[in-house]
Amino acid sequence: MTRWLPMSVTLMAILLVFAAWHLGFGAVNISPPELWQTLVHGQPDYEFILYGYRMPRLFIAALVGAALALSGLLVQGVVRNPLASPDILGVTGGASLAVVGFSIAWTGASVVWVPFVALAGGFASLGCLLWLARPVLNQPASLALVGVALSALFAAAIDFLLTMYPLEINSSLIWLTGSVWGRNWSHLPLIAPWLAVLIPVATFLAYRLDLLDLGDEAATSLGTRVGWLRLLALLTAVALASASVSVCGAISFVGLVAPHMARFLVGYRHLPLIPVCLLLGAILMVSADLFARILMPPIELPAGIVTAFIGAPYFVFLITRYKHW
Amino acid sequence: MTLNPAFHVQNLSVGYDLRIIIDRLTLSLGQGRLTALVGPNGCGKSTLLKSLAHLLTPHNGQVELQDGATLTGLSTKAIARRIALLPQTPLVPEGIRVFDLVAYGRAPHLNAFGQLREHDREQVRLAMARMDVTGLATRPVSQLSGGQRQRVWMAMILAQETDIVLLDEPTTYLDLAHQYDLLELVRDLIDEGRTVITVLHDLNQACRFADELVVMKEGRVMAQGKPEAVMSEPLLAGVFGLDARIVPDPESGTPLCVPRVKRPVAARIKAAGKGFEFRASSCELTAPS
Repeated sequence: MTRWLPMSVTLMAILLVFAAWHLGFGAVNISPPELWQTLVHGQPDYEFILYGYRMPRLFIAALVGAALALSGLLVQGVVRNPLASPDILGVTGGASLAVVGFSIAWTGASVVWVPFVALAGGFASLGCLLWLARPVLNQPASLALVGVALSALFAAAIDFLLTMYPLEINSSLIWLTGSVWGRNWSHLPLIAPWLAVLIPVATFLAYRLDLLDLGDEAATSLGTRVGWLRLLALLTAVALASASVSVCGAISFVGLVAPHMARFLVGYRHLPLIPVCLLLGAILMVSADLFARILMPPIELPAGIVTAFIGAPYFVFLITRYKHW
Repeated sequence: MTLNPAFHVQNLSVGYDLRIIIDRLTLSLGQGRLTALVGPNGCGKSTLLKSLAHLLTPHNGQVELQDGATLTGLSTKAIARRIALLPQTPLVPEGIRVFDLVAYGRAPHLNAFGQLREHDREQVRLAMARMDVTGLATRPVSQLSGGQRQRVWMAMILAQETDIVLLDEPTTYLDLAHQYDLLELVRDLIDEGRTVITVLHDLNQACRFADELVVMKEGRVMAQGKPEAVMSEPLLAGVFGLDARIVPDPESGTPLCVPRVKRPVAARIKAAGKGFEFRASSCELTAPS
């Protein structure tokens, strides 16, 4: 229970190491001493590369990873199923579909609208999910299954649009796999405020989510308003996931894997899980973006591909290990 | 005039989605007593129990508490400070330890972050001592036996410090010895002045331990009263479809229901008797002299 503080400090150190690596590595390599000189003493040689390109990208990767991880933690807490994640609920798919549809319908539209379209798509898909699943809202596993069906539908719709309008797909494709490439300071306000508001909300829900682990009946008889808790936690999770999709596109598996790693490290309580989960998500995403750049230079892979590479084997491992169906 | 009842159920209609399980039910349940809800499967006894804890919202009618407050008028947390319910199959969070699980019983008394104060810790310790699980405090709940686990759940309910305790088939999954241990513990709660309402499957246990039986069938109350007054052969036939005799329990004198034999068993008893003699003699041989 008290392990979360040393654990968070350790994870913070790991994040800093990856962050330094992330800042230093690229088309122009900056050595750690040079990095130090630039950051602390304001040496002008690399200022432009660092502050103009790599720093915003680093921050966005870290924040997006943290948001996805927290979103996954909330979804798993509500659905009480370790395989649940924001992607499975169809939120990511809905947001992606909205963006693809938007970029086809308004070919000339400015990209500044993309994040808002993604957000709208995410919440619209939550609306669809809650409406379709309304008879089974108190059966979390069924809720998840409706989500799976919904995300399959969204995926099919995206494929349909991409085949019908092949000319418009280029930027969509990159965005769909999830990438931090080309993100700059202007993208930061799209994700940071969400985290600033929703981390406290999640903290406020943490103890109630602990009680929900006892089952709906026990949680209710211990004074929890289960219906409201579920709705509020899902809304928070969807807002976090949609916000990160709006900045980086669909990044898979971070929302699934990070909460599990966090539980492995600090146990089942949601309050200590929140900081650990946020940090793990940030580490996963920053390292994924780093490896995406260094695996086969000069080609930059989308970070989403790397997270899928890490996440997919873990997913299989999880299925073989999990015995509580 | 006697004390107000712990629950006054008025014209209650309740069910799941559109399926009505209980239709316009009115009854009172006594304060400071052990009431057993009995009846065949699907008779609505669990549904009634859940309605008493407001886990189900009534379509119609209401449940009134002793002081006249209705459940619909109270917040979930306010209800939880007065009524504790042990579901039939609560889930055990992965990796949770006994102390932490029992401490969840304090939830209705805590702030949003669930911080335990010294008074809460004291209540948790008392509840664990009461259910004799103090020695298990740091053990993971998942490693406990069924009997131990049920005592831990009971400790959680006790830590909730409520006057009313509702139990949904608390003896399921327990072996016979642990069933009786648990029912004795429940009796102790009555002696402390609490009101307990429990769903029970075993009629003989219900007759032995309960002050009052509520016999239900198809969402209606068929009989209510002291076990001695309620239990009758026509009732068993009518409600359970069971052909049985009622004899006094040789231990407690309460009604004991013994189903009638349907085919001659003399031959089988003879054969079993031989086997028993054989085993008895072999025991004698191996017993230390």
